[in-house]
Amino acid sequence: MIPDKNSIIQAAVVAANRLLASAGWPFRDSGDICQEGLLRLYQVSGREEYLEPVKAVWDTNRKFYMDVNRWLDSFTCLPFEMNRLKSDDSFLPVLEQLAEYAIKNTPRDSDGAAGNLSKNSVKISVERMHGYVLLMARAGGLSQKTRYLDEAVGQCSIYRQVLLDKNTGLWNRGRGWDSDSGVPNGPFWLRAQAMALHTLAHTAVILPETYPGITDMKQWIVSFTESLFKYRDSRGMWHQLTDKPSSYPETAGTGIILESLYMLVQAGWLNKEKYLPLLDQSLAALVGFLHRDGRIGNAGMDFRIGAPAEAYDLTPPLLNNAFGSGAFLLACTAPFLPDNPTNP
Amino acid sequence: MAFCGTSEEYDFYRKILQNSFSGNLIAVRPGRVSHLRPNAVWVGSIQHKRYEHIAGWLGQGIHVLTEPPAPADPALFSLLQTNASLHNARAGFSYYHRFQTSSEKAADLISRGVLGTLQSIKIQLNDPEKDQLMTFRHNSFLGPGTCLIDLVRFITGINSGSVQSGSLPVPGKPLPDREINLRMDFGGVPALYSNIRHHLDDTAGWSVQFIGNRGQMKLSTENRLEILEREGWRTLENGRSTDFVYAVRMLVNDFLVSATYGKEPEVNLTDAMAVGLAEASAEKATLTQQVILTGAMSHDSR
Repeated sequence: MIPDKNSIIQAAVVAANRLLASAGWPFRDSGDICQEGLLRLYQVSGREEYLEPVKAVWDTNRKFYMDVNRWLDSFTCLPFEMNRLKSDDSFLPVLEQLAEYAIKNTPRDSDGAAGNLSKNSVKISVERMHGYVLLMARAGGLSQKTRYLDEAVGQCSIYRQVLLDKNTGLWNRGRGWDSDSGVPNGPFWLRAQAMALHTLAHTAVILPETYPGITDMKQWIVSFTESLFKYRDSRGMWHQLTDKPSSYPETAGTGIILESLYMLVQAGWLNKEKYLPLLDQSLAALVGFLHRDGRIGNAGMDFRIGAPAEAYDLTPPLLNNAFGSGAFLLACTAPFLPDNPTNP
Repeated sequence: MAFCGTSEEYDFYRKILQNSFSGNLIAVRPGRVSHLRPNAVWVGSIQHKRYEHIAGWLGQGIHVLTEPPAPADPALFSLLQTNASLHNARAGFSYYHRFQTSSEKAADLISRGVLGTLQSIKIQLNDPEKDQLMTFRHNSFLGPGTCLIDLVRFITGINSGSVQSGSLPVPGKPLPDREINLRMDFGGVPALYSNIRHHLDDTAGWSVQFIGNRGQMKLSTENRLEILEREGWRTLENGRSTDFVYAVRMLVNDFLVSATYGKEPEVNLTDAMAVGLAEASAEKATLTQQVILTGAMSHDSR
């Protein structure tokens, strides 16, 4: 059953209004996912009050957002989103330059994964894969140059080889952060799963139907989705440590996963009959974490890569976690985006 | 909904909920709950096998609302969370102070940045008997003070990450009269916790003062909220001694919606975990002088 649009959008409005009333929200580390969430809410509600604050951030920080390092570390590519929404193509001339710069200057580890140089060794993480791959995919999508798409899909393949756990089908968060042993850094943090899925999903929908690597990408997405659903709880939530039901149900990761899965279903990458009812159940469960004041409960904190599982598991979530608000907005708006074929 | 607690508690809450409660509240002995299979259980101050019962009920799919104290053992949280997750049961905790109108306003002021950047917090527990929401003393290290730990977390949005030092000026005094001074830390903001009465302060049962670089505010018993302005303290919310009724009704009704429709209670297991672990570290700090809870690094702790 498709969730009732009015009640879901109303929940998003409550969360968005709370977010916008928070001091300094755009400049937190999580400001970019919040901006993307607000843009989505603008798309489904048509209310300019959710577009204007993001435009204001974009207009006053245009130079800041043109910095390639910012793109590699951010959840959102705000220039890309603004281009898509408002045909603001002022960044197009530099997009390819940024992609070229990233290809040439991003350090690689021994497997060829684009990572971060730290203390003379290259460390990799799902977060870096997310930033790097989406920059390449978007550059490829807009410039129609296969070189960038190849780089995006190639990095997905390398990262998947290194970080995907064969037993669980889940992603480790990184490698090389606590030692040079080559053993990936666990645990199976939900937000790492969410970032991995978000990377694959947002790259997949950019690929042309005739792209040679599309079959591999589809297989990666289908098998990862099947693995994720093995770990969903009885009400439809995923948990802070994905493979441990004893950890708490986590809303930020669940929100990003839902946004990605709705998009994949709508784009025909996943079976609609099989997954849509499950997604709707999960979305209803996620909305149940909205507090009456617009805060989102159970949005877990970020941790140092390499931190022990206990830190993830036994650190209570914050009650002012803006990352959770952004993820909540993405999930609540995903089923109702204008280009959504399932839109009632 | 079944109520497991003392008859005094049952009468107290039943009176508060009169005419506002859509459910049917019946007093039940813990041992009878599994036989009766109610939709939900409200757990008062029962002590014997308290969390053994709660874990068992969650494992039967029965929703549970629990009065403080929260458990302090991580393994117990894991058990409660596992049972709740596997059996689609909701676990709520009754930190009622969050639902007072003064607390909601205080949280809003902090979030809007009215006080600027938070510099320090002062938590003072003078006389819990003056607060109806602390009527039933909690048998734990901080006793009724745990409600204030949750309140600060609710208002600031951040966790108590560590207890840096503590002292017991009168060692060996039995609960609940033990005198405690603690230096705590909420996401980098230092907080002083004391239950040693300061006679120079006001006569409120308790007060929590938030000091920012652009202003100060003070929350105290009877739903009172004041903000410091150039002319002195201005009262933003001046409650009455009966305002606690609203808070209890709001929390219980929130839990009823959870038990009926499946939404997550606003005060849930993770909130109890935050308070339980903070209390455990406070107790330990009086012995070791320093306890750091975790190696967490937050992106959103501002």
